Amino acid sequence: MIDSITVKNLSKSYGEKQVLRGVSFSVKHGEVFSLLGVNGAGKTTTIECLEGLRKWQEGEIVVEGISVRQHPEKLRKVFGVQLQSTALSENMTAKEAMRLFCVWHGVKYRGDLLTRFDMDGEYLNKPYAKLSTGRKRRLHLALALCHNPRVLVLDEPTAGLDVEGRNTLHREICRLRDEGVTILMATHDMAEAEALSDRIAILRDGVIAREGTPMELTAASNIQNRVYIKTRGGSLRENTPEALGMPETTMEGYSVWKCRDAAELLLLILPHIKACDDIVSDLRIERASVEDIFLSVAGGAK
Amino acid sequence: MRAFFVQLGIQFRGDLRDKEILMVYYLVPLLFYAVMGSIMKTLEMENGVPLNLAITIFTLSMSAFLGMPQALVKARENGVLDAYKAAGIPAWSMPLATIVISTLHIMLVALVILFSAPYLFASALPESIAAYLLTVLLVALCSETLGALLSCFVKKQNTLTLVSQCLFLPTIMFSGIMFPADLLPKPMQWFGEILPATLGMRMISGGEIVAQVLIILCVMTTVFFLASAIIFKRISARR
Repeated sequence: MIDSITVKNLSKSYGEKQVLRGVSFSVKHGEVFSLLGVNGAGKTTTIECLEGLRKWQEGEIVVEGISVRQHPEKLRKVFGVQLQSTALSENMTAKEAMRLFCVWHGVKYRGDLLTRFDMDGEYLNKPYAKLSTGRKRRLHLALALCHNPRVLVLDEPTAGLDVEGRNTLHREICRLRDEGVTILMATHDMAEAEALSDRIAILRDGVIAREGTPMELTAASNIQNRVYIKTRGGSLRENTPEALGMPETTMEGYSVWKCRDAAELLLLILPHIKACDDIVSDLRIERASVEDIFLSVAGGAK
Repeated sequence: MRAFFVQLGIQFRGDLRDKEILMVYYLVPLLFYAVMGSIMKTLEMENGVPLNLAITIFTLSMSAFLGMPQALVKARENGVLDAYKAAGIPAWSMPLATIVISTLHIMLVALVILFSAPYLFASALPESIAAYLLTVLLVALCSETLGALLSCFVKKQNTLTLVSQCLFLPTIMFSGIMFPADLLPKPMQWFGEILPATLGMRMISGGEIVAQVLIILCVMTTVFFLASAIIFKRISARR
């Protein structure tokens, strides 16, 4: 796949404070790429530089073959930007906002997008200030898509949403990915990043500290998996294979081991259970999550 | 261009849904008009300023210095400029649209006052209605652009509430709409001379367009607008 977004050695400082120190990453066509980081790590600054909203000191950003620094005006056609939740006039209705954005982008009115994001009916003529956070997010997403952008940039897309609103937006993000839209997303929500992203980058102190697919990130970590095994006869409580040692702990009938390689552990333990003429009644593997990786990386910053 | 007119239409309709804007542009001025109208005979005899002109100057000063800059600062605080920038719309179109719509509100109120005053309060119509309306339009535009410029230098709405009084109160006190400017101390009269409202009062007093004042008002409007447009552009690009 060809790169849709390329960021090379991006550096940005506000006065004395250096926020980005040579950030580099690339996003392929049709990929969902998430930027993770604690507050102040530089996620929003990176995204705003990409959108052309902020100037930066060093580095290069190329989106769909267009240099953001040299041709920001060409970027508007390929870029869809989900604005922050206050960036519309309080008295503007969803219908008016869509009309305005369509005119700004030189396209016909996209009522279909308002319908798609469930912003029709009673919400169509409701002033922006009276919409719930979830509805505002939906509206912003609809507005960002009015000119059929090839690249969509989302900053904290589900912040402040309830479970239903969050799930709805997740479905839409997946649908957009399936339609071939490249999505770059900054988020605090680890589960969201893990569930939606093809690749993830963790920003720490203005540099990319880790990057890869959720599987790659978790597999490459030193964080151990937990294996929970429960047997009918309770054979694991009495004896275990010598190579394995006793379980780290037992809880509610489960014997629990911490290990890097769960498959290796199972290869040792399952024959032992069989030899004891016992049967596995439940088996659970708790793998290191992106959140664990994030916490270990963010913890390193402290 | 079409986008700008669509924006104007949306902004105008949005304003009519905004209670604060309705209060600043319509309710308070018309209430003031009703109160002043009831005592207008005395005021008009003492001051020589027609009621419709005095109230219209009050209305436009209130909206230009108390209403419109607040709207611009609030929009900037809320990141509305980002929406413009992300869509590739020049930053100066934000103050321009706000000035145009604000002026439209002022002209609507001015028309209501102009044509109702003779019936409600026996106030005389100006000799030349066209000259009168042109003067009001020019003073409104000049005051609005000055208000837009003021909004560029203040980041927070709370601060603006205080700072904008520095333009609103002198306009009301020194321009001669409340009492004759001759009664004021000389320094205050000089200060009053540079206010758009005073220039407008002078221009309309003879019932005809005074070329010199007209040029000064046009130059001031242009300078204020260009300055605010440049500063808005810089604010948008500075980040």
